[in-house]
Amino acid sequence: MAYGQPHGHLHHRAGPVAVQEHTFHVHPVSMYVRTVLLLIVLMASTVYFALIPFPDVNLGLTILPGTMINNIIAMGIATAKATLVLNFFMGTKFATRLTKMWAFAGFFGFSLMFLVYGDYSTRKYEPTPRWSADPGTSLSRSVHEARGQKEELKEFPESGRF
Amino acid sequence: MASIVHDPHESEMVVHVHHQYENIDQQNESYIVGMWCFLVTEIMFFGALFLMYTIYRWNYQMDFYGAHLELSQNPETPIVGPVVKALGYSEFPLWGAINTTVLLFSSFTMVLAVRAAQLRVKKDVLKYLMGTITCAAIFLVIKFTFEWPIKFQHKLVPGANFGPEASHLHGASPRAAELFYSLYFAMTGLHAAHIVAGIGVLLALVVLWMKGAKSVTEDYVPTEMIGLYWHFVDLVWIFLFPLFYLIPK
Repeated sequence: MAYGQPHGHLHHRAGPVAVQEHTFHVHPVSMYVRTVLLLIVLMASTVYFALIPFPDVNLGLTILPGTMINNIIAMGIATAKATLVLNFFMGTKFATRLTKMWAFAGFFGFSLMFLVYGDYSTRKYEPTPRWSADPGTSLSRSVHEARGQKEELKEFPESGRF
Repeated sequence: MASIVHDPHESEMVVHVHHQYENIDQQNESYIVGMWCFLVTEIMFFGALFLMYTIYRWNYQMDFYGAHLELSQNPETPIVGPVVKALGYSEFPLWGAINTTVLLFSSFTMVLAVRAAQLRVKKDVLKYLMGTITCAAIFLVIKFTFEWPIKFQHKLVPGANFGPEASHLHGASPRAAELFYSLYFAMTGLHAAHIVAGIGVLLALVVLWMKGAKSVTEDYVPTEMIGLYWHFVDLVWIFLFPLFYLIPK
């Protein structure tokens, strides 16, 4: 053998097949059949819920438009379908914790990407007057005080955007 | 279950554990985690496009609604149009729904192929793999003969040739509709590219199984890894379908 004899226990070629048989579990076809039927039912319900209108909901502070409910339902059903595919078809439910962590990390990272929206949603508040007015300096405030320099702020323009 | 072949040689066929692994479990786990590592990069790949879609749809909600209605129009299609009318819907995402069902079924056949690989039943593996390839081919045929060409005809492809009539815009502004279609072609096109690559890989797997190559017949995990890729492609479509075809009014 190319890999040398001392580590004989690593090679299972000559060992009993029982070692291989017990390390993974063959799932019954019925589990997969039930999963795919449930997936198709969920898909049909997605289409159904997308086509019926929902009334607006008054939450007190804001009014939640009815279409938002459509979207929440659609994304909720899509997430449920994804969980089914992940757990049963991809076998994540029966996999080791490391595998589960990788799957979770992937989708968690994907959700983190949506923090980018913080950039777009706050663009209407720019430029911030207070920050533009004070040019800043590399020296600390105590140094300026010691020199007797007062903080001088330029007049900032009336933005009215805050 | 009656199709399990009790091959007299089967009891001697054990999985080769490569020298860097302690045992078969560790080998299996590292194969699967390796595949998941690749799938995480794919999540990043598609994720950026989903993010772009979200930002533009948030800002152009009504236009996206109008533009997406074109995806649900099917009066021109020969059999489907009258059926949809008979059901009472003026617009119905029929092709999208059919495509989703086809892809879900392909996932089902794929997982059965993996199961057959676990049981080392070559005939079933080939049967289910061919079923998966067939479903994928149906998906591509529907997309490339019923969905995309109509967009080309109606000048809905973004770029120099973008110039649809108002009836195809359904109230959306042309600029926002062009955004919608850019995203539509980019995301469904990227997804279709993944399906094409997946068909290639599945065909390679079929050839290996037909030849009885030890690499796939001995250990079921390579087949399972390709199954993981295929389920991921299905997963992406599960999210693409409501985002493009099911925008509420």
